[in-house]
Amino acid sequence: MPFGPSDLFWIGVVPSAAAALAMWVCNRLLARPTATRPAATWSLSIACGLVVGMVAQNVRVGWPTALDKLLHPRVAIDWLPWLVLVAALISVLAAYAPRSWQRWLVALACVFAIATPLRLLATNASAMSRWSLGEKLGILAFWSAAFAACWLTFALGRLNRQPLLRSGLLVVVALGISLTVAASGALTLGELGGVAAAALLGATGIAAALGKLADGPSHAAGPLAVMLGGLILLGYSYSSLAPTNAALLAISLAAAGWLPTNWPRHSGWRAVLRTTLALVPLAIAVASAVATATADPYG
Amino acid sequence: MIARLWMHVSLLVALTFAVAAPTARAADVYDLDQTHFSIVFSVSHMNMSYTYGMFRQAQARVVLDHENAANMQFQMAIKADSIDTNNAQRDTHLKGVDFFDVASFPDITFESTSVVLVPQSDQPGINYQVTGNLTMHGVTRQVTLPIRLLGEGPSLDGKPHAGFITQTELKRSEFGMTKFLENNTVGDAIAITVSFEGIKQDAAPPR
Repeated sequence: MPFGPSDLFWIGVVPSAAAALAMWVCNRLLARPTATRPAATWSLSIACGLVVGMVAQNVRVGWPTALDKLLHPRVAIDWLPWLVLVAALISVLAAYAPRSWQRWLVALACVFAIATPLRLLATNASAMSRWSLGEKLGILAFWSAAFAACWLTFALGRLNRQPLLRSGLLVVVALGISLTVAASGALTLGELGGVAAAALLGATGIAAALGKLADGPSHAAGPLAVMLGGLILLGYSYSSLAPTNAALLAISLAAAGWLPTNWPRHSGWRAVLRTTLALVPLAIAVASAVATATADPYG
Repeated sequence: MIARLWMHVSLLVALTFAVAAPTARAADVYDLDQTHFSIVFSVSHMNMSYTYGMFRQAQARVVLDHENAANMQFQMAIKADSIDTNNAQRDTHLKGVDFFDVASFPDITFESTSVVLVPQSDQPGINYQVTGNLTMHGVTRQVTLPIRLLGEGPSLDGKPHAGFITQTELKRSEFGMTKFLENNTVGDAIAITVSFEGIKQDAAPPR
C-alpha cells in the first residue's frame, strides 16, 4: 500500500497544523472578554483542521483537482467538508445565540441530522434504484437517529469531565476507523480518518498548552459527529465495511464521548472503564477488517 | 401543352421514388451477443508490469448501414460492478470510492454521435471513425474510437452476426479517478480493447 512521507505530510501534518493554528488564533488573537466561547473555538478549530485536511488530501493530485472537488462536489465524499462546515456553523450559532433561540437551534440541528445522511446517501445511485420508498425512509430514519445520537453523545461528554482522556480516546478511535475503513477497501475514507485524528491532536495539543482545554472535544460535537459518523456511513454504503464492524465502530465512538454513569466513583476506574469500552470494540473491528483483507494487491 | 406534360412526368417520377423509398435496404440493428464479447483493459503497475482486467457484463446495440455510415449508431452500457482483475480484494477496491465508485456510478456508457467511414485503411475489415460521448465515473467526455467491422454473416446459431473491434487508450484522471497516480503507482493511461458480436434483430432500427 503506497503511503509515504508526502502522504503523511498532507493528511497528517497539514490538518493538525491547521487545527492547532485555528485554536491558537481563536484563543489569542481574539481573546477579548466573551469574544470566543469554547464551543465556537473548538468547533471552528476542528472544522478548520478537517476541511483543510480534506482539501490537502486532494492537493496531492493537484490544486485544480482539489479546488474542483471542493467547489463542485459530485460524489458523497466531496460533500463532507461542506457538512462539517455547516455543523460548525450551527455550533457557533448555539454558542452565541440568546437562550430564547436554543429551541430553534435544537430544531435546526435535528433538521441537519436528517439532511446529513440524506445528502451522503443521495448519490448512491445503485442503492436508490434498488430500495423501495419504505426502505429509503427507514434507512434515512436510522442514519438520522444515529447522527443525532452521535452528536448528542459527544456533546454530553462534558458531563463526564476527563477532557484530555476523551480527546486521546477520540484520536485513537479516529485512527481505528481509519484502519478499519481502509482495510475494507476504501483508502480515501481511511485517509480521512487520519485527517480527523490529526485535527483532533492539533487542536487538543494547543488547547492543553494554552490551558484552554475546557470540556475538550465535546465542544466540537457537531463537526466530529459529521466527520466520524460520516466515515462509517460512507464506508458501509459505498465500500465494503461490514455491518458488524460499523456497529463496533459506533459503540467505540459513543464510549469515547459519554458514559451515562458516575460509576465507578473513583475517576481512575471510570477512566479504565471508558477506555475499555472504547478500545475493545475498536480492536475487534480493526482486527476483523485486517484479517479479512488478504495480501495487498498493489504490493 | 408541353409544360403540362412535363408536370405530369415530374409528378409520376416523384411518386415512383416516394413509393420505392421504403423498399430500399434499411439499416440493420444488432444487439450484443452475450456469449461473444470481451471488454479488456490494462494498466501499468509502478512502471514494472501491466495488470489486465475485464468487465463481464454489458449491453450494446449497433445500427449498421452499409450504404450510409452517417446513419450508423453504436451504444454500449457496461456494468462497472462486473470488473474482474483476477484478484477479489483488488476488485473490491476498484469498485469502491477510490476508483469506479460503482454505488454512485453503476454504468459506464458510450453513445455515438457521428460515424464516418474510413475509405482506405491498412487494417482489414470495414473501418469507421466513431465519435461519441463516453460516460465513466460520472464524467462525460467526447471520444473518437476507431471501430472495425471484422466480419458479418450467419453464425453457428444460424442467426446473422456482425463482429466489431476497437482499441483505444484513455486517461483515468480525465474521468476523475486520481487515486494512486503519484509516482505512477497505478498508471493514468488505460489501454482498452472491446471486441464483440452483435446478433441481427428483426425489428426496425430506432429513430
